Amino acid sequence: MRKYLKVLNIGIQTNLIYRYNFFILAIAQFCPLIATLILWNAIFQSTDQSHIQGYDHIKIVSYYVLSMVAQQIVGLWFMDYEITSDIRNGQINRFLLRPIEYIWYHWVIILSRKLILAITNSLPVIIGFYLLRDQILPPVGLQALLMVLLMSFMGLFLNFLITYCAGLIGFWLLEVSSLFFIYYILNFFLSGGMFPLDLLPKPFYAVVRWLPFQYMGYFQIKLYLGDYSVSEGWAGLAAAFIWILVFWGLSRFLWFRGTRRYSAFGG
Amino acid sequence: MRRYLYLYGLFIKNGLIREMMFRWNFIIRIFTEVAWLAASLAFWQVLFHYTGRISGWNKYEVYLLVGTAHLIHQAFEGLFFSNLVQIPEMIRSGNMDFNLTKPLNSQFLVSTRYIDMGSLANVILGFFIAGYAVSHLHITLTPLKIMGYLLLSLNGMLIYYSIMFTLMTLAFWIVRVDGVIGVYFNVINFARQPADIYRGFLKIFFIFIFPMLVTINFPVLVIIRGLSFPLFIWSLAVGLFSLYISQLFWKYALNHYSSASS
Amino acid sequence: MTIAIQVDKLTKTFSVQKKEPGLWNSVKGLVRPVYQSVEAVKNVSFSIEEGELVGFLGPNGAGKTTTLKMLSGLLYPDTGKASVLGFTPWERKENYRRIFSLVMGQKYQLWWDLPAMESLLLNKEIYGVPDKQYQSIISELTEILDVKEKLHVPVRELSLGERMKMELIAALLFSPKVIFLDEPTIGLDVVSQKKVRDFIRFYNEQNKATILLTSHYMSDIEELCRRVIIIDHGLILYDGGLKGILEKFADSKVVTLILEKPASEQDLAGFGEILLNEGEKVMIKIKRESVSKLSAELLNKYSVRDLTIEEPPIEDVIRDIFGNFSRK
Repeated sequence: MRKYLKVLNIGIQTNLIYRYNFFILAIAQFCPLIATLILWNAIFQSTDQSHIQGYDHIKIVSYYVLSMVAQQIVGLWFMDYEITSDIRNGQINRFLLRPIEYIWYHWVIILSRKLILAITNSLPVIIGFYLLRDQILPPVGLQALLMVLLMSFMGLFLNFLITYCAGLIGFWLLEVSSLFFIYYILNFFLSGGMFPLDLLPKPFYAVVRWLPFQYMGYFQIKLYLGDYSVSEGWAGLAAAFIWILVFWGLSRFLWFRGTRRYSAFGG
Repeated sequence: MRRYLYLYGLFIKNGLIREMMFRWNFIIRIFTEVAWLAASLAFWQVLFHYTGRISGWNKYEVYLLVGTAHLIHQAFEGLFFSNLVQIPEMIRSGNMDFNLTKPLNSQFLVSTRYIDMGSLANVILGFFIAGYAVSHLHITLTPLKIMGYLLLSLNGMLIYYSIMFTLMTLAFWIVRVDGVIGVYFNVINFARQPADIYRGFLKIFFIFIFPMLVTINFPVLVIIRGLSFPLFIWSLAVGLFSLYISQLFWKYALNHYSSASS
Repeated sequence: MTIAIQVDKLTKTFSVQKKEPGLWNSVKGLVRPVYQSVEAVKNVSFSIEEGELVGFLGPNGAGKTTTLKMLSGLLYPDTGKASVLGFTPWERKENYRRIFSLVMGQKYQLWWDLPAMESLLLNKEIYGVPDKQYQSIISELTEILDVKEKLHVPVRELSLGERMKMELIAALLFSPKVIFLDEPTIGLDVVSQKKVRDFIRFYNEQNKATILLTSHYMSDIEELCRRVIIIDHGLILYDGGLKGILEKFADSKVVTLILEKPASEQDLAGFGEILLNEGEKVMIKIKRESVSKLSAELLNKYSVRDLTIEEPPIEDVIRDIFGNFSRK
């Protein structure tokens, strides 16, 4: 455990140095949100309905704001790049030799990043939600909020496992970096980052609900807004847990086959 | 001038050789962009399921906007982007020195060396979407309109180039500029939406102060609504001015580099 | 002889941010950075004639690269003047950039993914080399450097030595009149080092190009340069012939004796520092001024089969100079 704490410490330090970067990016990330909200404002003005598929203006605004928060919590950009480049330039040997598990190493790094993010961003987010309490809906209840937090953690871990598996493809394919972008786009779309998934035509929505991606944003937002009840939340938790098991198994399998192949090729 | 054209020919040839070496990367890159295009078309398709028009724009007008955005972005990425994002690394590793000792315009050399054929292939796709949209719009295309459209698209691309080039030039002072690249990709989101959703001051802001509507919306407006002559001239002025600023800033940065770096 | 490079009292000072280790200090550095000025080059003057091949010698951070960068026009000096073939380098005139070339070991101008041939073609166009001249230069240079078959191999698949040879060809294919070589042999294996070295000599002799060469490796300098400029901490310590270094800096010579029978170490130690004592063969370091006197004494005292007096290895002398200098 101690060694992972050390990794955590170093992770925090390097991230602090680049917090400048964090800061500019954090501000810039409001641009797509603002652009989207302006668009929805125009849509509501262009139709005579006050609701679109159960969403009124304030609910849509809340949805997108929450979606941005969810992406901050669940999003894992470039971890897959780090893994493939570790594989390609032989850095991975360090982990094959040392008594430290590669997967947990990455998980701890991710946690340190998220911790920094939580420390720097929680307060502004809470204050923002308070100041905008007339524009953004509050969580439907305390139980629901706790459920949202728990599910967010599950969503992060699930995304971590999928991204980790994607990175391990580097054992077989050298040029996979562009593949990750397809995954990002897919993830963004299917987790409801572009629009609420229930706006999709019925047959598509039915399919999307069976995929793991909705647990990386959409599901949590619907819990927060009260569209899903807490008991539906438990069902979602179970489903997310099954997905975690599936990708956990896949990651073990890929790691096992990958490292065997790697040592067979001599790195 | 002839030397520059000939060199550009060589860059194209080298780009082709590289793509043939990394065939898979080429194919995957095309698919990535197609996925992105599909996602944004799906987005608008879903929205227009619930409303006939958005601020006066119908579905196919927006599709024309999506296609135009695609072709302008892809042309920019294919011709310049991969060069520009390498600037920080070139400065850090010291390989920038080679570019500066060559008897050529250094901005030309650092901006144009790599040509990404995967993105250029996507330009064709952008034209295809745009053409599909126009065919549903009952518009008569005149040669003048098409010329205006192409000219302003080119102009939009040069504005993106100038912004990105200026941002990357910051690397002479700042060590890590990946945050800056993120800023660029976030900010250009304003440009991808129909101009008329912006009202009042916001519209003036995005045309005259931070001219994001000039890049993608104006070429589209030339075709679907017509663009007034003063605004047309304004667009070109913005393009030329931003190009001029990028050049000025580059020279300033080089002076800084020669007086301060080690 | 005409003068190709004239450097007059060049001075360059950098201001560097002072960085201290630790989390707290890095946060402090963000708020209030502390700058420190480092004098990289101090009042440096020299002149080099056309066709000369001059070695530029000094430890890391001595100011060699800074000087080369100023002569390439990449850096402005704070004060001082320089002229290379009539051009002031930092004006960066296009006509100046056409006639000089900069080669840096461990930095590459070749395109990584493409065969070296493509990068060479690119340079041909950049410098506007006529086809005929290009053909003959390429075939000549690849012949000498023995990389003819490697022209069509992607650069990333070349060995370090082969890559450096290609870099040299790329840098020389437009027949520059002045060449700055910054550590061209660094990291290369001994065979490639020798090949590159031979090539530089050949090129200098054949094209009468003026070459300024920096290197860590004494053997590069010893084999190539008749004239050496030694620089340390931004100051020129020495400018002159290789032999002169010994006269100026080596205060002793090495006397090697082959004796009939072994002599006692104690007795020998009276003459000077014993470098080697293998019984029959003895090497003693003797102060320059007393060499002739003490050699005569040695011949008197022992039955000597053979006695030779040599200069100490130049590498040791140089190491002594830098050692002394940094200690001051």
